[in-house]
Amino acid sequence: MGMASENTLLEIENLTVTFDLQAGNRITVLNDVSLSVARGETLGVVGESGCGKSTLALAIMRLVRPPTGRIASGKIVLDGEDLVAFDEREMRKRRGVDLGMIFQEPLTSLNPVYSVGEQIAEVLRRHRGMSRPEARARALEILTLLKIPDPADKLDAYPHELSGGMRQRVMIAIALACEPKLMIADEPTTALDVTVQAQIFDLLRDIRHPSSAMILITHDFGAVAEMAQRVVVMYAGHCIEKGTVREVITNPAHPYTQGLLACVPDIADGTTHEKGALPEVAGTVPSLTNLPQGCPFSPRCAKAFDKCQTMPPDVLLGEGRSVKCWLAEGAV
Amino acid sequence: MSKLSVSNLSVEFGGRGGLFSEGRVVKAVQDVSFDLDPGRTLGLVGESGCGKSTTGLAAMRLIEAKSGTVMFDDMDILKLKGANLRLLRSKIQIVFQDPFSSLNPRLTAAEIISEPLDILNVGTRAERRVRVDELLTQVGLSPEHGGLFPHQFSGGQRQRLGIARALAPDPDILVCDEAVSALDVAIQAQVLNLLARLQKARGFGMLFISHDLSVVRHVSDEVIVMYLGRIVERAPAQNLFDAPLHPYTLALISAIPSRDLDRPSSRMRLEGDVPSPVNLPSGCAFHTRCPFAKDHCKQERPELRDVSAGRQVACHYAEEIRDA
Repeated sequence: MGMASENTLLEIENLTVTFDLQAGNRITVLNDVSLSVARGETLGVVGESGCGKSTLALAIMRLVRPPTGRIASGKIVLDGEDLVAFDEREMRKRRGVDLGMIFQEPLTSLNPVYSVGEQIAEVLRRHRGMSRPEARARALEILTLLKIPDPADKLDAYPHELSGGMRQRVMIAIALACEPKLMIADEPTTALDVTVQAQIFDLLRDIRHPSSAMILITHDFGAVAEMAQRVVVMYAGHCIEKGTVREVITNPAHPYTQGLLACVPDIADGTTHEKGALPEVAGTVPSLTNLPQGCPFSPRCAKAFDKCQTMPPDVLLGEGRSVKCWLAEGAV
Repeated sequence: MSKLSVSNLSVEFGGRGGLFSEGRVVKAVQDVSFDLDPGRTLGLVGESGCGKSTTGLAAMRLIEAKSGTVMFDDMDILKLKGANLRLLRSKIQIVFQDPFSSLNPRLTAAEIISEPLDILNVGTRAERRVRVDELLTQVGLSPEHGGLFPHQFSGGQRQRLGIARALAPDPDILVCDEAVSALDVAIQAQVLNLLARLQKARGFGMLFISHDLSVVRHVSDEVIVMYLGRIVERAPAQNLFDAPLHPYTLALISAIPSRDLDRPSSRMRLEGDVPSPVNLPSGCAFHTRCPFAKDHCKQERPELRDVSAGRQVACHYAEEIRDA
């Protein structure tokens, strides 16, 4: 998104990620993705299942690995260093310290045989070289910061003894332990009830270090509106629209973004659609093994025309605002 | 009288003291009553463990209730047996949440839809085949899809199959248990519109169980909010969302992220998680999380009481909180 300025923390340039399936099929899960995240900012990444948003998170963490997955081309520049160039040894030093990740399902992401305290302390001992007692004391501080009731007792609790919301707080504690520069949250509240989701969102907003940044991956534009300043919309591996949250929500440029915003009822929307009259995005997301020619959204797009047989370029609409759509090209 | 009339329905689990059980009883649903008429949609909302799904399942007797009555016309579903119960089952059908596990993977789409008709012995084989093709078309698939197996369909298509199966015996009541929750948002809109079209054409009453209040607001005529097994509020959909009365409803609505960037940010937040239904709090079950709770709330459970026409709330101080 524009030039890398001093304030840019993460700059992804033309990232393409492929996966090899059985029978020699190769699918392109991320296709020429470019985006940036500034210090102090939260970037929302929105899209439906299979759009590549979780693969984006894994690619940044360098958890897309051969033999199946590979970063085919592109750069992932964090604070001036290209992560793609690092070997696994170097990446191990970065994960947890430079990059923190919160996964969707806290129960399967936590180790069931270690206590909460041990799992938080492990990160601190490994990356910060703390002694056991030091790490335990710091773990207690973090749990207190995360407003976990009876934090001292929780240190010795095991994941199965905690509720979903508490487990996700523990995940956040682990991700946060070394104060990473970039925190990636992949659908962090999808498994939680709404009142608990609200608590977790408040927490993620409150605990952030002013110079760190966050990428929030979600299917929910409401969550983006609450949490993020800028947003990237993904479809079939492409970043199809970028901009500030306000611009994209109030004036979406891509027909897919328009459809996605219109088809979900909003809780605060007084002008409710008549029953049965929700605007629909026709059809379904194409299979990555059988993508249409040109713009991947064109078969579902009511506004498609002959030019859409060729992949549209990123049409710049303004500072940090772009859309991959031939319709916009004419409008600029 | 309503087509379906549920009165004082209670469901308990456990308590038998099996090998691993400590003999504890989970009061999953307590004293739930509601009516549902053809063509109407009743939304049933609440967070996990509030008893909304159990209420739906018990009302159609897929699990046994501890007490209460479920009147369908003039029959009490909870007392029916054998052939009468089977016949009645055709009148109340259900669409489940997970379109992956709720369809038999060994049957073709046509066999899945035909199965309820076969069991009920509706018409001849040829007539049933015609009916299956009609149903496939009505849910937005085509008769050619009949020969495919569930794994050959997408999630949204599978949910359409689930709807076709449920509608096959021409039910008067359709229970939708988180029927669109597993679907991607764009597909969700398609299925919601399909349900609304089918309801308009066939006139069934719909019990729409969901944790998603935005969706419930869109589909429902009336909404019931449940918390820890009990109804805490009931209101016409518009009223509930415009002017919630129970503090829990208030918190639930304000917890939902909205795309409205100018929505006030000072919204109500609840502390902690929903308590375990094994060990229910005294008095009002919500008092442990309610920011307005007083001593009285810990001692006496508020009854569900009438506030105005069609509106009920179970809170001692609902009006005070509203007017504050």
